[in-house]
Amino acid sequence: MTAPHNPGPAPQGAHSPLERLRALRAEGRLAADWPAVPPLLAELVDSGDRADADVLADLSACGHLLATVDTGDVLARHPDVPLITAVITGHGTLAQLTAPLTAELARHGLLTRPVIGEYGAYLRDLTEPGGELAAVEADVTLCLLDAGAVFDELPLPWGPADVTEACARLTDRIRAITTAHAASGHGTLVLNTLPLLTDHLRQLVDERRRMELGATWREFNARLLRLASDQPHVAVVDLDPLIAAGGPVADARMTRYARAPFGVGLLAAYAREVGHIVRARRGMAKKCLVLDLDNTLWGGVLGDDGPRGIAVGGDLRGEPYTALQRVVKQLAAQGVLLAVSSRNERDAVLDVLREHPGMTLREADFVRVEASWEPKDTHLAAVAEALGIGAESMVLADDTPAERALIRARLPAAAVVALTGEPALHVERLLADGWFTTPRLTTDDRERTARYRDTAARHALRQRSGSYERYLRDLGLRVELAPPRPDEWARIAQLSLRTNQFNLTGERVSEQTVAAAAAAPDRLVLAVHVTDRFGDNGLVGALLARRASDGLHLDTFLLSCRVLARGVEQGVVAAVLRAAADDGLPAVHARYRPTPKNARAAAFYPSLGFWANGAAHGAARGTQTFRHDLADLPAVPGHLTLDLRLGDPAARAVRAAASAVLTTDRATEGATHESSEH
Amino acid sequence: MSLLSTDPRLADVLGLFTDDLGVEVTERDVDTDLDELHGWDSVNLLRLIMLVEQATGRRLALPAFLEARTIRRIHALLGPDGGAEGQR
Repeated sequence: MTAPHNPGPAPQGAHSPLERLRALRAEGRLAADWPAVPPLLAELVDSGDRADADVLADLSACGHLLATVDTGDVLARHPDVPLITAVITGHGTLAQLTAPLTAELARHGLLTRPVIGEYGAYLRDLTEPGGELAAVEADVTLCLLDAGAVFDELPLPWGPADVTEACARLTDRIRAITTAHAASGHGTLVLNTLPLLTDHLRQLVDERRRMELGATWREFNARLLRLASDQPHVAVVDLDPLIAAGGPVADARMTRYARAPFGVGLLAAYAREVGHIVRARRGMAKKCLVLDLDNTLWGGVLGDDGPRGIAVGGDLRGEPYTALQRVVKQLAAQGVLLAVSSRNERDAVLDVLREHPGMTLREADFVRVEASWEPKDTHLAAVAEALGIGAESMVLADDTPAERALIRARLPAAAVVALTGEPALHVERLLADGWFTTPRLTTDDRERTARYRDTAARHALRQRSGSYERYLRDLGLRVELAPPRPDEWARIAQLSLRTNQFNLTGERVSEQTVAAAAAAPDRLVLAVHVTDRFGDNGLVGALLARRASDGLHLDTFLLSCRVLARGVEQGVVAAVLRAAADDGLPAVHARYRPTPKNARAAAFYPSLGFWANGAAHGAARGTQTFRHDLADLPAVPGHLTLDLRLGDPAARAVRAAASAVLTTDRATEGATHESSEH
Repeated sequence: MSLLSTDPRLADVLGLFTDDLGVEVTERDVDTDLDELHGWDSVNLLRLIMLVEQATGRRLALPAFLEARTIRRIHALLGPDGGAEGQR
């Protein structure tokens, strides 16, 4: 990458993804064929044994070509492609970030509009309200700082105390930037730790002062990393581990002659991190890791070598597989659902998962074990159906190139992790992409695996119960609808990111938005908790509403697919309509905005007696607005026990004097959706 | 990329511009100021230097490249004598 010791270009067949992208560009078809780009890049990254640096270099080469395409052309032909406006600014020349950033975002199906800040003007651009960059409504603002931001300010000669002072000044500046960014309300601000170079450290000949400088520097970076903890719109990329994994910070010649503080290798690694930061904030984080078994979770082939012949735990040969299993278990503890997809005899697989002394992962760690001779896309489809998630929420880690190619071809929305013939690299490969990155983990995440296992028990009950109505009655559903506690705000924000199928407006709300709404006297926030005889489903939904002179407006209503189609969604709205009627409000208004995933919710409001009254003013294309006149109220489905509590701020909103407990045994009207599955 | 050679032909340099940098050029553009080429951006020069260094394994003299104003000059700098005769 930056080090020019590569003896030649990576081996590239005439039909390598990079060659094909070049051909598309040469024929002027890149804009027209834009949907072909993400699968092409997925193929490039699924590179088996090629060195990571070569793959990143090819990816940047693709990004450079992609960046020459006019985004307007792409959008004119493919209006549904999400456009990410990325402001790139910082202490040095950073235009070289455009290529890898464009490629990384394109891997995720996102189109990049880069806006490069003027050289040396980052502080002005990011803090002055009237500045050029302030007018750009950025989805993500990348403010890349390097050690020059500190060292360029020092007197000559300098000592550690001068560095401490300069670091303090830079900290103040960064605070000013985060404050201005929070006020602007646009997207995510991405900062980074500043790498300290030997060029700086070794200018001090005194060991003690060197160590002091090192300590001062780490304290500065630590403050920077802590900045994000109370600022949900800020992410800080820690460059140190990226440098440790990928090599040099910069090419000194590029730094001196072109003022480029970071080499293309580091920029490529950084761009990958940014890609996942953007993904996570768009609700695109993956939910389920599907693992192959033979030569992935253990060494050898179970069908040939037998349970005693496979390598896992114990000896040297099993060590890398145990390391991978421990990492996978660690991911699972943070809410990543695990599944197995293996072309093996099911009973033999279950025996190993239950009995093999070397295994770290056990049957109970997996929400689903698909072991059969069916093709793997069938396995993944079965896992998706059982969990009520889509292929776009899944990642397959597999050492067999043909299996990965099959998934890329048949389920292009799923991601693949290319494991190689060297199991010692499995962990690195698995973690090379932050597929499961999330802005903030909630307690709900940690309990997810148990919850999805309850889902399996519910499926079993459903099979026994015969009719769906009987099944619903047997479930014993209790719905609690109440203003969230402050510690639940983050969970609601996260739910809005993860919920796609029943998200009536497709809106994502931040923790700050929830907090602000909870505090506002004219706003109402209700969290939906659901329990049944199999356990507590936790906080599975939220409703954000606003009171105006013409009635109550339901701005956001979302419900996890975990509890969909059990009458909960109807019950929640029925209860809110009742409360609004009791309160003498003239009407309840609602909105539905179609997204690629929420088509099944289109008829939801009309099914509860809402009337469509056209498109919203100035709203996004396709938004429908509805009105309920509260004359004929739908009943809460009879199989639900529903408890609506309106807290203090909410009470002011709806002026419901006391808590309204709505428990009804009436017939299940308005439950026409219950037959639809996720 | 056909720059494995330490003495590339002018056509190879034009190919590098078109295929790798995405800047469409023909032989008529070899004396045009780089800033006047459609799609040119100074980042392209940094990328070109990197690509050539990767492909040839040789270190280029950056100041001369960063001061180059035309494709002909870049071609001369890529030659075995590093452009000593290519001043124009």
